[in-house]
Amino acid sequence: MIELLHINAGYGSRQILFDITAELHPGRLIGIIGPNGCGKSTLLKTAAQLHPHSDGDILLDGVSITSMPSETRARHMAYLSQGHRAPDMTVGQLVLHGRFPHLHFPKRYSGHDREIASAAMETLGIASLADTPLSALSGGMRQSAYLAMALAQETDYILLDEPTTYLDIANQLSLMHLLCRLRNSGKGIAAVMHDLPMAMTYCDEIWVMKDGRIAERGTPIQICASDILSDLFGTAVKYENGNYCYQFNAKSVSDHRMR
Amino acid sequence: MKFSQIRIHKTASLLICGILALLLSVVMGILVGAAELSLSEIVTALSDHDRTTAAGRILWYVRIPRVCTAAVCGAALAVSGAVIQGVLSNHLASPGMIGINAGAALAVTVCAACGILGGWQLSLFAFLGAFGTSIVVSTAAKHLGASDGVVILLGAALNSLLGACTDTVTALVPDVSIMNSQFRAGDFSAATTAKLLPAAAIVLPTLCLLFLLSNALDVLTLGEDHARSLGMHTGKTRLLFLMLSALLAGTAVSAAGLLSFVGLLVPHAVRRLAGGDAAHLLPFCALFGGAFTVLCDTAARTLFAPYELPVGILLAFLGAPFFLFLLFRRRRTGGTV
Repeated sequence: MIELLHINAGYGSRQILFDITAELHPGRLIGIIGPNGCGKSTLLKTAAQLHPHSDGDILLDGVSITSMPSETRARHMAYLSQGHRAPDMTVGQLVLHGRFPHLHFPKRYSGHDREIASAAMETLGIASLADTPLSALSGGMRQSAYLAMALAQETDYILLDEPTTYLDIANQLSLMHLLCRLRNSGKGIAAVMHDLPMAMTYCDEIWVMKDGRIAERGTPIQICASDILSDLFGTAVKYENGNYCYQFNAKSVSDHRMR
Repeated sequence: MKFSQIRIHKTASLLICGILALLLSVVMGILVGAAELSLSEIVTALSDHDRTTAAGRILWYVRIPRVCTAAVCGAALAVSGAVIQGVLSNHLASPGMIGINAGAALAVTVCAACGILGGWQLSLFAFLGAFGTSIVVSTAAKHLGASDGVVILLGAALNSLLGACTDTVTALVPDVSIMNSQFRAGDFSAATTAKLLPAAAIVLPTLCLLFLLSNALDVLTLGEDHARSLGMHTGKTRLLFLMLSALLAGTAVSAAGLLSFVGLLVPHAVRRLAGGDAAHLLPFCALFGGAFTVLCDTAARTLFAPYELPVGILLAFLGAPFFLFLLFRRRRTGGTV
């Protein structure tokens, strides 16, 4: 379990996160939603220790993450940022680098590492692209390649910053199905998402962020029932016959703009 | 796992090509020269270790040290360029372009002014000059969040500044200026075994270490966030790679002067042939960088025999248009080189 305990964090004198307390359990898929600039990405980066926190503590299975060597942390927790570079290497090479935290100096990959990387590519359905340069891939395929790298990392937890952003709807859905499969296999996953009905449909729990705080946490049904979504986004999400959908209402949107 | 067989075959054949290219260029460099020696004279001199005849002296004191120095320096500069490009994530960078060579050159000139003309002290100071400059460039690139082009401009400014400092030293201490024009262009005519051995003793282990660490260089090119989420200490790793590449560039400059463009041309050509991942890139850069520099040097000293062109001038004739080509391609492809 990853526990965030009263986390404050920021850039210089500007504080971004205020008193965040939450936890991510194995076998759970969590959707983090909130308006632009509310601190979603900073929250993920802070949880992955890519960004320092000024107060509070982060526990990984009961152990403070700050006292942990970065390689140990990386064996438990994978993080993918939004937007991916296309460095000069093949898909197979990229995925193999997911094994990096499992190796000791001088970090040479073994046959075992190659097997794990290969299995990760099979899972993502990109095994045939192993020798394709990253620069030749579409945005969706590149996303899959990076996700395969995170899988090859064999971590208990995966933190994803806007994994669906550059994908068309078909690729978004297959990505969400994949995340569900990973969740079912016991991984704890937290993903920043913008598509509210999609987050509601697939996630076990939703964290709604507002101005650097977690304003509301709960199951998708609970979040739908509260007023927080229409407060934040000017539109609610309706749950009807097993479907989540936006409730666009021209009047409420114009009211929201006026406020 | 089936990382495809084709790629393995391609790598193996490239490796054979690289080794052959290096060997052939070295053999050619030894056979060809301003003094026309017959094959039998060369074979006799080589097999008898005879250093008393004219042919023996030319071979053992001139051509062999020169060719080996060119191979070592070419390999060092090409690998240094590939490493710098990876660390800065900037394919336009090379030790010559961003001022690292100029930093080493200033240090070498200051050493010459102080009477240090060779040996490990010279290599040490050249390394310090190169390392200092690379720290300045990488820090500036990081803090300015500078684009590729801005880093190259920064390098141009550093090149001018360091060049001016070097000129000041040579103006104030005229004794130094004897070797100056050849040093500035980059040249192997002053190569001796005594200079070659310390350079090789630094370059070869550094190259081996870099080949071993190639996966870390690749992970660094994934960007700060991904590298750190894979458990890497990016700051320390970047510093280590800058140090090793400065060691290579500094040693090459102290042995042969300001050889430009090897660190730019060779990594780009190799990337085309072998792909961009460091595990392939670095060894092939060493092989082809060595071969290319030996060939250029052989051409430079035989094309206008008995006059000799400093090899750096030939490299500039090849490298400058290539740099322009990269810029145009960058414009056409919208940023990626």
